[in-house]
Amino acid sequence: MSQHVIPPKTYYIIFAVLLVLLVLTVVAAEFDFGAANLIIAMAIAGAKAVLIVLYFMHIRYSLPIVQIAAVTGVLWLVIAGTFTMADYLTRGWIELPADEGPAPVQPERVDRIGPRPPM
Amino acid sequence: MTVSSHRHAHPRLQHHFDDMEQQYQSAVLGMWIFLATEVLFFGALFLGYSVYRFWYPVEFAEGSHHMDVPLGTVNTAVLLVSSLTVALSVHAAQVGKRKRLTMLLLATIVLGLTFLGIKAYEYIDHINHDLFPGPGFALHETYHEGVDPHKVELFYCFYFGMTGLHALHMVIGVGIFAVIAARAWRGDYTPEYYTHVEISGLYWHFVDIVWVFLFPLLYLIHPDL
Repeated sequence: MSQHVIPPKTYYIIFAVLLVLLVLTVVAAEFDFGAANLIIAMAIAGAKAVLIVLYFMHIRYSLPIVQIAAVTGVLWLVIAGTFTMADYLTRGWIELPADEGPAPVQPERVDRIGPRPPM
Repeated sequence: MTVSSHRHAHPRLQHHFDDMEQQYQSAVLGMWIFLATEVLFFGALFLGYSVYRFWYPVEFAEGSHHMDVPLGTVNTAVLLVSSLTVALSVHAAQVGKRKRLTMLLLATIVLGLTFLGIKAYEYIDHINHDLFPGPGFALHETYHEGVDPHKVELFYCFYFGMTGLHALHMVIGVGIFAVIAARAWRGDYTPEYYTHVEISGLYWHFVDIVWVFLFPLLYLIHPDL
């Protein structure tokens, strides 16, 4: 068959980079970068995922239709995430005019995990 | 494509494929489509996690502080090594090294079981500290003042749900590799036919990637958040 045979040396190099990134993410979590901590952690995880997909999963050398299939799942997850967060993350940003009673959009409103009723 | 051209074809070639190449690529494409559904399967949990972490950042940081970071790091490394052995096993199959292929697959199984063993140890530790969500949940010591235990409990719902689902995938993966390793030893796989090794490997790498994201999200939330 005509599959691209990736030499073991490539696998070893990718593996070494993955280990370095693992150490990097653990060390980075020790420092306080504020909100950037999450961004750094996700950037490193994303880089590791891309390396695994491209080389361990051979996507770099795969047929275009396989590459499209690989992107599909992530693309749809991004769409789901965008619309989900466009709702939840923006709640309470603006005060909606209330016709009756107190303004309905309050951060507390979204907390549905209230204290338990007494037994 | 006539019947006669199949007469001298590879014995593994199914009649509805033109040649071994097409048969192999079809299997790989099918596996990737399955993995796309898996991305969305786990993705929904990651989105739920994101929403609640955004709402309760302090409680999620609190929950994350009860994690054993060294154990989590070791487990991530174990999974990365297992991904390497799987990648190398594909190469061994491509160059037709039967013994090396079998040994690499067995090594993958051992590494997978090692991961599950460490994970089980962590679970038992959490349960002994009353951190399993449910009526018995209790926070005996807190790092952040004034946290709502029920919201920390929510973190543990995500923790056990997501790592549990991941562990289930690991168990299935170990089972698959047990079968593949036996067949590899028997000599079922050749450079012309090693589809099982390739697509099982894709599955294993996917499960590895899920953990690559779970590890920082569950273990590494900074305390000052």
